[in-house]
Amino acid sequence: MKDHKSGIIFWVLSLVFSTASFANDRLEHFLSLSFEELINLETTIATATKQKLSKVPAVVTVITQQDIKATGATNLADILEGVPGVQIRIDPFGNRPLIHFRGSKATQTLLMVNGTPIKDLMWVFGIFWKGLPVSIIDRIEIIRGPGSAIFGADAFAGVLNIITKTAGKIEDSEVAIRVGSFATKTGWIQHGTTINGFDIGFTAELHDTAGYEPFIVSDGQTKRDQTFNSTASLAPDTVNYGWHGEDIRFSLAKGNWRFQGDYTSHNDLQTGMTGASVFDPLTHASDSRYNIDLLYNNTSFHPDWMLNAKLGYQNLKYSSGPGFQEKPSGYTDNTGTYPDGILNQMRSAERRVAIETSGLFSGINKHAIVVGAGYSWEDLYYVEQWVNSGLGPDGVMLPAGGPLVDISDTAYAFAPEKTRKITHLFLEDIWSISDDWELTAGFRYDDYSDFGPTYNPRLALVWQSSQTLTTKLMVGQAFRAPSYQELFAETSRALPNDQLDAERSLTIDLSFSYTASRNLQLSLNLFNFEQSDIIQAIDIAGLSKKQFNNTGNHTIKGVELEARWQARNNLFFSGNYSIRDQQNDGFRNYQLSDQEAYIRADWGFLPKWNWNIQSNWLNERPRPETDSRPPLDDHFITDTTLRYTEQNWEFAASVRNLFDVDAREYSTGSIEEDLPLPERNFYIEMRYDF
Amino acid sequence: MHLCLLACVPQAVIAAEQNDSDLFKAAFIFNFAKLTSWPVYTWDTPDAALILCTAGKDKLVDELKQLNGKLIKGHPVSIQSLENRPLSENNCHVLLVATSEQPRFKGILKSLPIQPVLTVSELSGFATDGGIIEIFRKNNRTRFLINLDVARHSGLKISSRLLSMATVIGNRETP
Repeated sequence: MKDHKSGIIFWVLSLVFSTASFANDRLEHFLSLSFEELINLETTIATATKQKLSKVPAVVTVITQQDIKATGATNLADILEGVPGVQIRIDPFGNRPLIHFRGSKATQTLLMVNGTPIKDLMWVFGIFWKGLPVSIIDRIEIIRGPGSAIFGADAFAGVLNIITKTAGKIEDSEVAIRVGSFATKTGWIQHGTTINGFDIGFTAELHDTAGYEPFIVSDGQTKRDQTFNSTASLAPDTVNYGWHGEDIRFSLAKGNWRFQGDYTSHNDLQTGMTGASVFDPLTHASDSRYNIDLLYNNTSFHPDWMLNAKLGYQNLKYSSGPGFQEKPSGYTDNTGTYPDGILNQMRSAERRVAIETSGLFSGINKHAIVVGAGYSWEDLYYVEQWVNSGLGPDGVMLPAGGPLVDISDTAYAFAPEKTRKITHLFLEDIWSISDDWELTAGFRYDDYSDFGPTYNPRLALVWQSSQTLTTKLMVGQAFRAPSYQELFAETSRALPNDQLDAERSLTIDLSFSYTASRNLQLSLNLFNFEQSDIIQAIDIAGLSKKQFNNTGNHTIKGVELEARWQARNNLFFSGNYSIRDQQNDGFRNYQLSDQEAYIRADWGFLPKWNWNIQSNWLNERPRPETDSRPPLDDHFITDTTLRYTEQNWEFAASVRNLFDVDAREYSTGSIEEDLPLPERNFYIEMRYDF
Repeated sequence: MHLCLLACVPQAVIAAEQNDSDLFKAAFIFNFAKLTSWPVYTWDTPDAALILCTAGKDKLVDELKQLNGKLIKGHPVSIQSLENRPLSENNCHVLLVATSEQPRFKGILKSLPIQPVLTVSELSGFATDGGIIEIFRKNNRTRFLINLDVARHSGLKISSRLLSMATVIGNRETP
């Protein structure tokens, strides 16, 4: 959809690279766009900002295919480590790479592929989320800070839009393989062609890995064993995180029209541990997702109007396979002993139909006005659950050691089959007040059938302070829609609450972008990120478990620094540093550090060769008061990648965690010694273009 | 590392303000070439150069030089200035006629060799007088006319995506 992004996404995000004002970067960026995008970009700039490019009203980063290749990233999660304020946190459940912006929750990140949010109703980030393969990625557009005034729900702390390689963009054909540590094997192909005036694009990737195998000394069951003098825990042992993935994308473009069909699935996915960090060797889960989109884009609909429209369908299916095994074999509690452990098999399916249309109006001098509206119908249409403990279909406690019982379509199933409908409207005006000043004002109105309406405005003032300095002041409000889990689904840990309202935030950003020289670009960003109505499971008198409620407020203040330096023609450095201040008020996310830094160097030491080294530092992570463990140590993880490009051939070799640092992911007390991150590992890659 | 970056860099040189409209036009021309198909026999090898010739001088011609070496459908772009050599000596695939060539452009178009050349110019009347793509500016935006008859007669196929964004004209004077 890179040619026809839904609504304003295009017009706002296409300006993203404007932050880089190197002339070469600009041309590179222009050339990387499809022609439709280029025309849209020029129109936006021409109508609103008099062709000065460094003025996009947001804090943005763009990651290109060159960045991905140079740094040796193989998954979306790898490349995001280098973005200021972004932390990838590995979830012990399923080894999921959760994406956190600015010290916030992963559910407060909006993740889109070609402008389509890929979240699900039930679990938000996808219960078996494994990131995305880089072979499908053309570029990644990132906004730090709020985006609900444009994108709606969940654009709370940050927005990611992954632009995939589609028709008209894929110029050659490629076959490639990559093999590496942990028995990881990946193969992909891409092909682009034109047949009878139709541009056609195709990409496919197959991925198989045994996964890294962290050694866990004690798990969530260990402490229980100590208390009850039992021996059910499987710890100490290694956890298995193997999985198999497929990603297939097809696109077709002709004239103003574009069709895209995407299919992605995970199979034999070992979740390794439960959500409560108990060993679960049984689960071999699977999921599948397909998206079908029809897009229309007309850059010359009317002399003053450009038009975009999009109709999309998404279907998602999940199955936990023979698991989840919530407690190990031999588990005992006051109801008796469970020889097979406590089993909880969950299957669900969701579908979504969304339509959106928008226009860019340039008929008023010095204004670019974007207006749009859309409707989305989201349906959790299938819920199946089998259990061998807890309440049975008739509401009576199941006996310990009994068989699996079907509780689907009863009040005791993990979620009700339910539909959510969302209507939205948005309007944004980019007003070029004078040569040096530009004001962006916009709002978006979303009406949810379950929790009601929400209205999110934003305001951004951009000042071209001098030829080399751009100053931006931005204020934006955002919301996160409560998930089905929070609204309707009882879990082992919490009760739902259908009276929940959205989580809200108000963010103020002050940003300076300074072109120190032709080759050096610096930026400084200060923010104040105030959350309110935070949804948290809390104790409520008279209830057996905690219940989700809109609770208090939490404020995060931060500073982000970035530098990009083209030291020589063949030598490039970049780096960033972020620091945040947040109170220990019960809402602080202790899983994340308050400071992180990143540095990267690229050296083209010979023609056709590139050597990259990058290092990512996370500060130590303190514990909450209830946790007596010492703070988790800080760590540096360094990767290096060597790449050689011949006419049709390309070879790369990469070492990840080069110095074999014993880095840990912050884990709750259930994993006493915290989850070990992958040790030093390698891969080699070969591509052939024809 | 930021401190080092700040301290290690020699005195800054202020970058000259770029003329973005010419940068855009250069990117447009790159896309024109991407969205045009030449006959299959045009290149001997898949990695042979796509020769982008320029006639005359102006800012756009200067800007266009940055496209040198960029790939279009696997062909590296080679920018060649015609200077005073006749067109027939160059194996041009694309020809940009600069604004300096106003008095001469009709002659240039008549001297085109037999093989297909995608002709592009900002000169007014270019597309109606035998050229293929005429770039013009309207409301601060880059727009373009395409003379489809000329393109077809020369053996070039122009993508529907490109045509959908152009003002398409025919021309009775085409040979």
